[in-house]
Amino acid sequence: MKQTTIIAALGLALIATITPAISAAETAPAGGDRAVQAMSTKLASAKQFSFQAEREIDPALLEGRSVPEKAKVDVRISRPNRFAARSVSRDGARRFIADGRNLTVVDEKKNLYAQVPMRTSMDGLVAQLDQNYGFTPPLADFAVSNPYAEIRQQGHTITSMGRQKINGGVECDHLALKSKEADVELWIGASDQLPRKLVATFHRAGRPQLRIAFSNWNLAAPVAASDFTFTPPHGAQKIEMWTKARMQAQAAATKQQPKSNP
Amino acid sequence: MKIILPYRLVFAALAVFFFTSAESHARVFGVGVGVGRVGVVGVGRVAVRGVAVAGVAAAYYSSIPPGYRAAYYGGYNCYYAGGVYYRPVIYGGNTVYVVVQ
Repeated sequence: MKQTTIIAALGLALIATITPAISAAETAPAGGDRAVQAMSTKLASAKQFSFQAEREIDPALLEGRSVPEKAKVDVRISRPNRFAARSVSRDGARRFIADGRNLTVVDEKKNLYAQVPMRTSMDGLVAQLDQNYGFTPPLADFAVSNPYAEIRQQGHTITSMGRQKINGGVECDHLALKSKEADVELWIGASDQLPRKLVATFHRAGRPQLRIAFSNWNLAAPVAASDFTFTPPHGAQKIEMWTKARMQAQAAATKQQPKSNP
Repeated sequence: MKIILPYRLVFAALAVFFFTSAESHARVFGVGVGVGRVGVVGVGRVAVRGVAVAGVAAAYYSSIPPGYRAAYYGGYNCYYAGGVYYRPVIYGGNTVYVVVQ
């Protein structure tokens, strides 16, 4: 009995010693951490919101490209499960529409679209797409229910770099987010707690970057059901959306077969 | 007095700490970075943007050669160019083309 009591006491003492250390390291409300949490809370509390962004991705982060991909992205969200984004680049325009039942991806230039069932929340949509299809909707990290958790899940540590004015004088909290994969600088508006700019530098040859400039935040955006409804345009062709597994099977089959020259 | 460390508790606590803190997500603000993923497009790494290149062991192509025409082949709406039928599919959020054998 005495021995059992000692074991239990030691166990509890050990847990009590370890747990606060872990919690402190994980959730210490340092300045940078607080700013990201405030941004996250602000975005999470918006039920219907919209924003725009100019996104630039260096070619080393893309397949088979020699020039950066520049895109203008419009995002509209109605929590918990409706999302619409339109991305326009030199290659054309793409739309991503989630209405709580289906996800539709539209290639406007080629008049093609694919639709897959997606009866889930915004968070579920992002997770399922990432897991099964190998991509996420544009800027989805800022549309999930807890952007702070998403950022922490990506393994970032967060450090405040002080205040800095960007975009013609908007005072921002300048943050450094470091992870195994990338160093990210994030500027969050000091007065409105909204993300203004993001630069991610990846730890690989050439240190390629992802650059995002946010604008036109509207946290009370008027939304209509039609914003999240897809009606195929005249002549649009429905095609399949392939999963990672299906494409890997295709790759395996391609390797095994003698390939005719395209 | 014999002291027995509750090693299972210790192990569980350490495992939780190390596995959760060391795990790296496979995506950094939309850009895939984990094992088997290089870029925004996804896992393929075998596609060619621009015209399709002869002899590339590709699972898909990101674009097809100019001068193609629409064709129905193998049960799919395809594009025909240079003696090859290309079937469009959405992959990684983009339109790509797989060769119909």
